[in-house]
Amino acid sequence: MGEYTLAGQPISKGIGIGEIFVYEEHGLELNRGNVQEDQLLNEIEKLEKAIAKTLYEIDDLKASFSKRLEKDEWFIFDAFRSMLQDEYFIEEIKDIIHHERYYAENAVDCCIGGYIKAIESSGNEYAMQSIYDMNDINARIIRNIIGDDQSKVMLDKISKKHVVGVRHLNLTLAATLGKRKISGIIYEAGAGYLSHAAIILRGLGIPAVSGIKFEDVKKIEGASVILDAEQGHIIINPVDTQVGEYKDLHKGGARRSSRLLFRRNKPTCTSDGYKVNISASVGSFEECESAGLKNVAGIGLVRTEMLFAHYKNFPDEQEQYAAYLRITKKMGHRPVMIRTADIGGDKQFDFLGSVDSSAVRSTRGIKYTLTNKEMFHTQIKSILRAGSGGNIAISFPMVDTAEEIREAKKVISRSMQKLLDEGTPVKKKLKIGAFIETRQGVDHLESILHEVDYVTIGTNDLLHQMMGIDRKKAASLRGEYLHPKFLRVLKYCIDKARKNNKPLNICGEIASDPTALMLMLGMGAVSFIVNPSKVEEVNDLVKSLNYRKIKELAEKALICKAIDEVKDLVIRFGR
Amino acid sequence: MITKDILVKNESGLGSKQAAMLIQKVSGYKSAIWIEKEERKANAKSLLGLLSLGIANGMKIVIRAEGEDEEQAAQELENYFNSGMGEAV
Repeated sequence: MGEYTLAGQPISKGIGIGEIFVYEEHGLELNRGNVQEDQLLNEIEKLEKAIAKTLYEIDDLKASFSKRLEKDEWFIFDAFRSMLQDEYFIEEIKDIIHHERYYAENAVDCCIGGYIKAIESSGNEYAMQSIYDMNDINARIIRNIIGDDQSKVMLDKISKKHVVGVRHLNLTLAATLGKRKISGIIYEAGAGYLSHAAIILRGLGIPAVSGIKFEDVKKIEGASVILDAEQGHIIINPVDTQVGEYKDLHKGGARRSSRLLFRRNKPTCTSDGYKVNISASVGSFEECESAGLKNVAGIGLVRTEMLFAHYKNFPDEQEQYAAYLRITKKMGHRPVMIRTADIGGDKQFDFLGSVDSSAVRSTRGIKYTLTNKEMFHTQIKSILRAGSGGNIAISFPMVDTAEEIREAKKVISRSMQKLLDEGTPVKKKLKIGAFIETRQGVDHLESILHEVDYVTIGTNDLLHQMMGIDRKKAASLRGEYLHPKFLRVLKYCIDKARKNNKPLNICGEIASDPTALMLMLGMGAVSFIVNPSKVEEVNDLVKSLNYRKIKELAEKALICKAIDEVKDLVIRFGR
Repeated sequence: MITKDILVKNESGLGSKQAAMLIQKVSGYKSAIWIEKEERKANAKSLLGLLSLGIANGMKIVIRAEGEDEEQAAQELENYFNSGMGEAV
């Protein structure tokens, strides 16, 4: 059969390309008869085991999502836990088993059924929402009492190439499938747009469409499909060109919707109309959210190592993908520059185990990841995937030589090829940049510029290295960046980048220090990456400055001999 | 025994999440605590019991606590309801 479409309603946006897997839960056959007197204790034991097993399953789901989702999104699992640990509820079921001589599954069903009836009689729409959760937990306990190995076997066959079709989607099924990193979900009934299941799928970035008849889905088992959860339909047996178009359209869609967003963000200008680009540096989704609301040009730096700092193990591709996707989605069309993990050396994290402490700059940043290629590939792949619908760039930390960039580019092209072979949508054309934050990097700036689309000067590390200070003891360095020697290094970088026609960003504390920012601007820097909490302050400062005047100020500062001379100059300028 | 009259003001009322949070708040108290809505009442330490009351925005309920720490328990619950249970009121 040729290409055709089935339409439903979009529940979780995105595009999924894969093959249909039909997941059918078998009907629950409850024994409604009576138990023999001597079997009652056996039923109680079955109940207790099933409750414990269900609790274990819920804990497992909660654990796998608590790191990937916001607390608000996974807190529902705590509600499920509370039900399973509700001693009044458990006692009530046991009473029913004893007094009515019901089988355990029937007792559970009657007990929860009674509660559901009570809610229904309240006739309140909001209260009705919890009925879904109660039905969900009811079915789960019952499955664990009567045993349902078939579902488990079927679940194990599901992989990320699948668009899974189900009849009825509830929270635990959405979570169980979500954990399996699938390409998408289509279902006939259940989870509405505001349901907990839908919230979780959106949080995980798994596209979902509801209202697709299960009987229709069963007929297309194994067929290749495009799940277009932007529009709310699936295309069955798409032609190859359509698949390609879809990947492009997906990107285009993201651009279209965020053009509106961009209009709200006017560029910041000095009082004499000199345009300045202010972007944010973030290390968590919360920071990104706060930055997203502000007048920022984009995210100039995602400190990926911070996103995962509390992890015990280095996050897998899906965990990273979900984290990056949330950020790119939040920012819409605005650019997001994701920096690969800056770890190693003195930047230690739990998941790295112990590392030789004498190895500091020589094994940090891009060098660390180039010698730990598996970790690097995983990260690059997840960034490429998350970027497929957004405006992303990849930055590499602690770049010393052009050779390192060439090597990193090979990793990117290998990762991209692998994803394309799998048919996964990726960001094909992306900009790459280097963090220049070592003396070696400055020395090789010219050749590095030839390999990248932009550079970012990591002023904190650069200053510390030039002043010979450990970054952990750097608190005392405040203000040292006004040193004329350091200013001249920055001026050298700014001029080099301009000569090579490549954008340069200034990052680090210096970018939000009013005095230093003034000098940087005067020296010709036009793009700054600052902490989200500083965005407004920096915006206001820039608007108050006159470019012509600070240019003169910077020229004078650059020929100073000592730091005190620079400070004097700035103080006098302030008056 | 202490009772408090409450007007529920948050949008979702006492849904699964709000009820689960409520239980986490009361589980530490020794007192017996009930939530009453019209002629029905539920043990505040039972999630299903709470949900079965179908408590929604705009409804009047009564908190009833009895035991050695009844005052603190009722107070904490009153604060929880009045704060919107994690939502805007």
